[in-house]
Amino acid sequence: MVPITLIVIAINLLAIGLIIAFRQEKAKAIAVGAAVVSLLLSLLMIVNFVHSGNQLGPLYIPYLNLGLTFGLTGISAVLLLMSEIVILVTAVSGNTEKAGFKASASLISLFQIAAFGIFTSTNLLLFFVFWDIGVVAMFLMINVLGSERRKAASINFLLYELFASAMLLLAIILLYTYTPIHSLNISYLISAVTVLPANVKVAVMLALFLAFMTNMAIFPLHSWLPDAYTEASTQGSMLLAGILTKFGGYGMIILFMLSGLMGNYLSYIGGLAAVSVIYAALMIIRQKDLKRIVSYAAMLEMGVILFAISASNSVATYGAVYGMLSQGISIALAFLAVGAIKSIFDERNIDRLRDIVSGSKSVSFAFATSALSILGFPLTSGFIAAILIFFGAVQGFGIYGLVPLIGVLIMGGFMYSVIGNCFLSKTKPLKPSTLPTASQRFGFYALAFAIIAFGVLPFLIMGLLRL
Amino acid sequence: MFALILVLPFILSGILAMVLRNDKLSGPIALGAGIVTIARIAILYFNNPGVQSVNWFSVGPYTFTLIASAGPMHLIFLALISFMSTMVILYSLGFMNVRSERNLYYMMISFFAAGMMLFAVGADLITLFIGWELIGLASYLLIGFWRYKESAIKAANKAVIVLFIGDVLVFAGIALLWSQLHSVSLSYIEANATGAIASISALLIVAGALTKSAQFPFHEWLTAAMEGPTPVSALLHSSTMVKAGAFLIAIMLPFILGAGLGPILIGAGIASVVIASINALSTTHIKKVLAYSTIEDMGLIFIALGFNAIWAAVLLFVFQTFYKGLIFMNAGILTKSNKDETDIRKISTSKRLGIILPLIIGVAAVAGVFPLGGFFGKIAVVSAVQNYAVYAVLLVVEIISSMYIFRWLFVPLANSKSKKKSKSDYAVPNSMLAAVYILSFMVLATSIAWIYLSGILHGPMITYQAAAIFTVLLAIGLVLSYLLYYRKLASNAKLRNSLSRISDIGIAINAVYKLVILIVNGIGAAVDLFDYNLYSGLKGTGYGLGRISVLLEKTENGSINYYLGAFVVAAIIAIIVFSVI
Repeated sequence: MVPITLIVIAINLLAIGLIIAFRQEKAKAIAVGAAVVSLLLSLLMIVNFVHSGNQLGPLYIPYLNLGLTFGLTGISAVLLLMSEIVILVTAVSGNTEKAGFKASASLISLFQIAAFGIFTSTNLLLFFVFWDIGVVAMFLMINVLGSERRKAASINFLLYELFASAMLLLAIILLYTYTPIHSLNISYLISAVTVLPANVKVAVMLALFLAFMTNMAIFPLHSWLPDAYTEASTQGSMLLAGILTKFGGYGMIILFMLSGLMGNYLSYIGGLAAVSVIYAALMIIRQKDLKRIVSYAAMLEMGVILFAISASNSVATYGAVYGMLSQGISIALAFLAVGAIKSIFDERNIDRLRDIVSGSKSVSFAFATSALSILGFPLTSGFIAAILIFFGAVQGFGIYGLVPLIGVLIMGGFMYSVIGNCFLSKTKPLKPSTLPTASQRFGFYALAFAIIAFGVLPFLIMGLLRL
Repeated sequence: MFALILVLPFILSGILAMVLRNDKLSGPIALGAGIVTIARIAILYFNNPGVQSVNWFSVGPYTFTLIASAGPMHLIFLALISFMSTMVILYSLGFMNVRSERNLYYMMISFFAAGMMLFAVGADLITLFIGWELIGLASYLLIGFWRYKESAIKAANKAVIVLFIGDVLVFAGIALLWSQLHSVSLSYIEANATGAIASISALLIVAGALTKSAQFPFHEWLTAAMEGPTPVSALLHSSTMVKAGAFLIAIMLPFILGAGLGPILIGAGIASVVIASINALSTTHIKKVLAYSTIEDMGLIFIALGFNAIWAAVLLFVFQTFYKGLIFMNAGILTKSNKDETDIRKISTSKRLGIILPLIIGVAAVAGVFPLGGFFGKIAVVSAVQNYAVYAVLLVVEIISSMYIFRWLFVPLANSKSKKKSKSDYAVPNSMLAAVYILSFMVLATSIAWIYLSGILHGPMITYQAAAIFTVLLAIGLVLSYLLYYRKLASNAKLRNSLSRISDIGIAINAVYKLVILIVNGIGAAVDLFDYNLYSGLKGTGYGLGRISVLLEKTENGSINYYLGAFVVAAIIAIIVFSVI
């Protein structure tokens, strides 16, 4: 049987071809169709995985031990599900600027390939290939569809991501050369790294860590993030913050699973993550642009997730995965809401935005839901993530496991006052010029529903993770 | 399961209020939900489901369980919440008559009540925390309900930020406890939590409870929260919100006292009581006086808890619900009949018996005139004090609190002596009066019931001596207040100035809040600058590399002579270097 991933790739390539061939009015429909099919196929793949485990494909370079092998783990299944939901919603409602239909639709399909591939690849070479496809898709998305300063932002983004790719490639070469049977299979590497020479271990660790850290936008390698997120168009921000940073998060979890590689560095990495969280929180309170606020919130969340990963116990790692699930959906929703606010009020400055709730209830509901989820409010997915992350972090780090809460505290105070001032306050209200379109409202409700569903029914995901 | 059934009516009424287009129905629907809930809780008394738990999800070897309990404390709290919510909704039917956005209002009130009841049934920290956060959010929206007022939004932001600090502290405490015990069930914690980690987490939880109960140093949000509609204040101050903190401490009391935090409870309580009573004496905002009175009552409850006098705490807890609800509703009637005036110096009251009698009952109950609720509650607390310094402070505070609450009564009364107004000026919607009458009745009924019940239930015994001391102090405050504010002896400006000068502690506390925000902002500015420099530095490095490349480019100019010359020079250098080595 042909691996499902290959079918998805074929479908999305076909979709890109069709988008280019047809007129631009059809572009969105084709991309949505491809996203729906991909979502269904991902569900099929997850169901297969739950029932019968992984079915690995053939090795296509047998003597190099490399192959088109695709499969899932509990962790990647969750991330796959998240990214498929986000991509579908992005395809339906992401284009709040109502421009560049063909480019937008085809790049979403291209990114679909990357996202589906990376979370189903079972060896690091495929992981690398899909990683770079994702980076290219996002680069183009910022460069072609972004706002005024998009060129600089996209180059900045590309430079950082190229550095990450180079580091990833370096680590792959090292791992391939020094492992006894020359395999890049992740499940094999997890136990095989113990036999590596000590200096190679350090080099691999450092290279992989730098690669994933850059992608996750951890301080001090975060400078690409605010510009890239802010200058990207809405669908670009949604995919970038929602899914692309999860590539690094997923990689980071794999890195920490490589046995014994990180053992000596856990507390340093935890410290770095905590600094990143507080740094992002302090940056948030200086921002005036709603989109930049959401960008730094995304950075903060990724810091929290790295913190959880570095606590390196099962509860915290589950928390990190749940955090990525939650953060992906919530941040995508927040960016979608901000994009809609921009198109409704033509304004993103929090000093001038007032009374959004009278202008559009659905936008306010969407933004509030995502903000509450980011803050870990009960009955949203963020709460489950927060429970697991901090319970696990305290288990790993003792009382120091609570340090990132300082960042969450600062962000929370600011977020609530933004909601109060911009969404609720009726003093000097802004007049809305339009209403959110039906497709945008679909996006709001679909993602908000996902946030609440994952917040109330966490056992669904936990059952998957346990596999 | 019983917990879900319990909160269902209010959730349904909230959803209906959200969905309905007609704004006339949402109020009665919410009222109906309240009545159903009261009935449901009455059934719980006779058919007690005990403790029920449901497994929420499990991670590795650990299972997260939601536990609901219908123990005595939970039931008392549930009864108070459902009763007061219903009364407040009844009162709101009249109060919200002239305003738009009624559906939104009843939706929030319904969700608030539902969250509060979820909190009240919680017997594990996660369930409690879920309810805790829900009421925080709902109260945020309710405090900022008059969205056209900038002050309302500011007050809501202030409240929510302080409450969020509390949320984070409680969450941190829960995380610490879980990491030690791998359980958040209250009964398990009570039996097994020991050691330093447990003490720290107890401290965090107590700090969180202080924010919710508006105790020193987190108390200023409550006075700002007076920007909310009056029924909301009545609800927040009587049975819900501020009680949540005390309730959390009360059901975890053995654990918290076991961690040695009694003195912290007492200290926070004493500080709150002193600050609140002094501030209440100078405030002229009709609802802020009552807000300070709430802070004082909650301070007394915390003192009782600190001395492990759970009975005294519960007693005041129950009585305070009724009398604080009543007096806030009276305040609403006063402001409503004075064209939304909130300065007590400008408010006058109708002399109609139907209006003035509940007012007097409310004030007397707050002050603690025998035989009304405050009398038993406050004496029980004061009698539970086992420390002479604390005892002495409470006695002094008692005079002040009697003074300010009677001032609250006498100033409007004195105003209505001079002003001539027709009866129609004081017209009040019937539903507001109905709620006030029911509550007046409840204040009287609970007080009388207690006189009979105290023997049967083996509650805290009140000695004649304590009662006599209390009543004398109360009378001193009453007489002082009468002379100063009704006979207008305080009208000379000098006295008033000196009174307000010593009592403006609120300003200082707010200044501290502002300072904290300023400091955080300052650090943020520094980080911002650093980030900018980091970014510029990276850009500068890129630019520098580019310049180097331009320089190197000049060496590649295509001239054979130049290349040959360079080759010869390099060869000579190489020979010299190698020969030296």
